[in-house]
Amino acid sequence: MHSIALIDVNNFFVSCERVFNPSLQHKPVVVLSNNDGCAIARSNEVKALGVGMGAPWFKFKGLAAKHGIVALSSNFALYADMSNRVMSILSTFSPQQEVYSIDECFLDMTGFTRRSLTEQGRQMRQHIKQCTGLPVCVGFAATKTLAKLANHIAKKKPQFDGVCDFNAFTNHQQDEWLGSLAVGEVWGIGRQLAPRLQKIGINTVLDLKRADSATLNANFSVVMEQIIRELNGTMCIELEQIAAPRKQIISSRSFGIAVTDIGSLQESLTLYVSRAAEKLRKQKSYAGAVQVYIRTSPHKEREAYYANSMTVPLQATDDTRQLVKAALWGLERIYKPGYRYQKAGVMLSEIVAVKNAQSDLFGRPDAVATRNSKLMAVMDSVNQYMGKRSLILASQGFSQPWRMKQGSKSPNYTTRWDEVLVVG
Amino acid sequence: MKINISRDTLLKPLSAVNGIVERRHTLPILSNLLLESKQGIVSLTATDLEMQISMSAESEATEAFATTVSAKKLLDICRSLPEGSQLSLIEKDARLQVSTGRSKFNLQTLPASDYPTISKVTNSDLTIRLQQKTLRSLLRQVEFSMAQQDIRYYLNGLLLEVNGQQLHVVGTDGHRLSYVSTELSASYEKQEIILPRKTVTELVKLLEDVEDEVVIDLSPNQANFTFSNIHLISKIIDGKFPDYNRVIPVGHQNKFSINRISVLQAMQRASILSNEKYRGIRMVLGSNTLRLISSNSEQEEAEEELEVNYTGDPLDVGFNVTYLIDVLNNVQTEMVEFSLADANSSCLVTLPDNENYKYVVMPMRI
Repeated sequence: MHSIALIDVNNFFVSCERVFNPSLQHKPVVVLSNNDGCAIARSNEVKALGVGMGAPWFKFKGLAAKHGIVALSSNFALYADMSNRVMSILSTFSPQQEVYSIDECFLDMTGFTRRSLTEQGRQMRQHIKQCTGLPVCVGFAATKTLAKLANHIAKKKPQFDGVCDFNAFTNHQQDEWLGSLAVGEVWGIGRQLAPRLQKIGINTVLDLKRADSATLNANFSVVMEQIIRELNGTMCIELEQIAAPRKQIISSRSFGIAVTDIGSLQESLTLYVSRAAEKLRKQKSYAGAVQVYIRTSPHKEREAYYANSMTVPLQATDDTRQLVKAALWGLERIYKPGYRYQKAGVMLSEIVAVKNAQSDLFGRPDAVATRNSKLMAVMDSVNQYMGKRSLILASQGFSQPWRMKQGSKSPNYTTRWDEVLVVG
Repeated sequence: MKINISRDTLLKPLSAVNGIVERRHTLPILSNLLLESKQGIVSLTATDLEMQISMSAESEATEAFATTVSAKKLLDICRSLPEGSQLSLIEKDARLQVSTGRSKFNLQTLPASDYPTISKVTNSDLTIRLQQKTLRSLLRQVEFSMAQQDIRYYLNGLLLEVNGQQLHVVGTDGHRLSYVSTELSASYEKQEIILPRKTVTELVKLLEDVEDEVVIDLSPNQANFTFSNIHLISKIIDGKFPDYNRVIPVGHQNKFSINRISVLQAMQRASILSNEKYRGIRMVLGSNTLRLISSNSEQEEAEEELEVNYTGDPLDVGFNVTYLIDVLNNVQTEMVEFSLADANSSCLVTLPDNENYKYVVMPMRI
């Protein structure tokens, strides 16, 4: 039998904020999405007040004032850095790790028998708490799907103290636990599938575990059979240890204020392409197409709505300037004056690894290509050492009045020297 | 306002012109075709504003008339009627009635005067004449190399270059290039045009494998093709085609010739285990052997070994196997010749004793 661990950080974004600002402990705290749009992380206190995931900020602003909810803008630089710290600590517990998302990862703990899994889980918790200040929960089980459920139990049931080893239960105990969980808690059964399952009498996880896969196959996809096998302890979903290189790179933002002129759109798209191109170079790839899209706000009923996008193919490259040129070429073709644009974005696609690059008959001669890639390397390293946006394309603009609102963002405690927390 | 025509006579021109009708166009009349009758001739015209196809057939028409009607619906009706049906088309009160036996269809029409026909430029610069089958085979040998929706818009078509007594036809997507040329019956001043992709594919469909003549009139912004009972007018791409002579290599020393079918089949087999996305394959040349090696992201591998008469340098070059399979599929000879220089240079594919066909493909890193 396998022993798969799922470790995740409790209320990750809120917990990161609390590490550096202890006054937020025991207070209701939410982290808002870009442009302070909606709640994307809630502390337990906020959850208790009934604020749902994704609730729009303007709708619970009143409630927030009444109960003293602290609302913070998202600080992704901080969260990404804290995530890296957690993941690297966890990587010391097993050679097989799959970083599944920014705040959770799977570890294959099969064969680690010197100490009980519960004991190792406690150590993970203690170690992460000590090194980063973040609270985590750990679930162990025979498959990834069961590990997710074990983690859920560890988080919700205080008697487990944050660590639940599902493999240590007897069969009877396992079924009892699964019988107490709603089928919607299962990994891969979303809001769409749960009601459909309930209709045919499958309400708890145990019902699903015992369901006849032949009957379900007629109504659901093959994934359902995979889920049922996983619930019965047969590993069907392997650990994906190597993060697959991205097939698309997307960079988009809403504007702080609606923009109408093509100039602002050009500036913002230049910025988004620059960011995406940086990521592209980091994974050593070329992009063969740039998609640009712009849209007005879909929520303003009294204003005319317009949205359009265009994919511009180009000779595969990682040169910001070439990519920006293609994006702006596309923008000129989809831009219509007279609308109040609220969002713009770019997506790099047709991504190929540099090492699999197809050479071009009419391509830039090698000397030029080498010079260009040297220039990009210099730009990346200047921006890394001297801070983001030290070296930019001038078409990004300098004042950028359209930039999004981030009214109450915490400092970059761990990634910028001038924002490091000063004690005393 | 009435035409009598057999379903079978109408069906051929109807299907021919339907090829270019855009299904979803912003201008409603462009999903219609223009139906005209004059002196016993029925002609059908369709356009997408970039190109226009007209085709005619004989009929017993009583009166001259012109109208436009949905191309797709008229085609669907004709297609589903039994063979040998005699149709009568009557235009009345802005509707077209198609009837035969006990079937009757009333279609909406739009006025013929609104139909945006492209008219032929009167003074063409250049007129050349070829056999239909010659033009068809020229286009078919190179069309697969054209780019599709490339930002370099001048690559989304074929170059026709008349120079002296030669006609050169070139297609490229930047990764590979195919070139073919033929001798003309007279000598002309140098002139080049780029024919749009869609025009090329329609032409290949319409041209037949016969010796009948096709007349090509070229002017700076229009190309006309007249053959059988078809008249095709096409806009041309306003751009500068890259200098193809610069990229066709001369003097690649590492050469071998090989049976086309056997290397094609070996490549098709090896391609099964090539990376699905990059389609890379290694050509490894040693003394009198050619090995084709592929592998994919699941670490599966294929190796094909072929015997060749090769005494050049040992070489290991990567290519997108699709580009090689394309050329081997589109030429007809028994043998083909490969010429290479080194792992970073292009590969030239030619046919034995034929200076008129060249295919160049760039390597990829594997």
